[in-house]
Amino acid sequence: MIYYVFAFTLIGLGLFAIMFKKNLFKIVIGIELMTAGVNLLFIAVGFVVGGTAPIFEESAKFSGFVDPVPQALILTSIVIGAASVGLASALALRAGSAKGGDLDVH
Amino acid sequence: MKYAVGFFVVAVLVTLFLLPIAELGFGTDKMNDLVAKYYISNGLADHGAANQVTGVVVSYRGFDTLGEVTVLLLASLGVGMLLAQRYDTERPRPGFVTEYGARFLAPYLLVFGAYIFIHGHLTPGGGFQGGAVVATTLALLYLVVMGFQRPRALYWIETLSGWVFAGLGIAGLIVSGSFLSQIMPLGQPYRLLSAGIIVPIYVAIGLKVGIELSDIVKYFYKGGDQA
Repeated sequence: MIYYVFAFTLIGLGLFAIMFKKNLFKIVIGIELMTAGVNLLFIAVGFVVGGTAPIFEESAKFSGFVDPVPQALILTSIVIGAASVGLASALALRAGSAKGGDLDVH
Repeated sequence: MKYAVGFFVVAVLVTLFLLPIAELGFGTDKMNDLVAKYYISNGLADHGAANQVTGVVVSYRGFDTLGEVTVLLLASLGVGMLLAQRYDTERPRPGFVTEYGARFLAPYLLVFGAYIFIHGHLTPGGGFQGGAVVATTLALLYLVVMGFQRPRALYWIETLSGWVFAGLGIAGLIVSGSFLSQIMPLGQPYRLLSAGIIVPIYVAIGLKVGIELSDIVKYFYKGGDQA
């Protein structure tokens, strides 16, 4: 349960940064915080008590897995998050240099 | 004042979203005979990969992963376009220990990355994770080795990897009538050469992701100039 609270705290902090920070890079960091919160939430929802990582082993006996579907979804989400943060910071850098190094939104 | 109101609004919003999620319960099995149960009980027979996450990413949702790789390619192209006119600014030369430490570590890191994506169907990890390790290695070299240039062959490797992924998909379309269907023998589970098309696809993804992510890092350093 504490994982849900923590994930939503991360999402809230990211949302707060996006809404109230002026610096473009801080906004990008806010987007990244929200992504991290959503990822953590999905993994926490997929967790099963006593479940192991969803990988079969030749020697070990099958004893219940955690849900593999959220993990696969979050794998995609992490990659897309990395790509979007790269693109967003390139945009921020470009916008800043167009205004002579001023990275704030007004 | 504005901050306090904003903080309050965000806190209320987050709590409103948290409450229905909290009713789901933590750690309980929520898979009840839905798609995840099918994946776990039929995965080994369907695609032959011991790692079920890999099975979902590359086999059941392989088409989605092709789109994901495309998104990464477009993002790296976008970063290259946006930062095309930046040039390397003056940096202090890294110390001897830093530079040669990185040069010493680089081959081991590359082998580790390759291990992660070659064994993606057996152990935790896979193409994206191994690609991230490869990209980290190249980023380290950009950071500490002055005037570092990647070999030009990497561009051909990246293109080829994309074609391997798409080509295997089209081959499945021709051979058995559905995109990315298993056209290679599954082999014996838990062996390195098993799981059919998953291994070549994950190796291709690993190479492609590694080169593309290091492209993004490179553009932030040098801008989109030659090589």
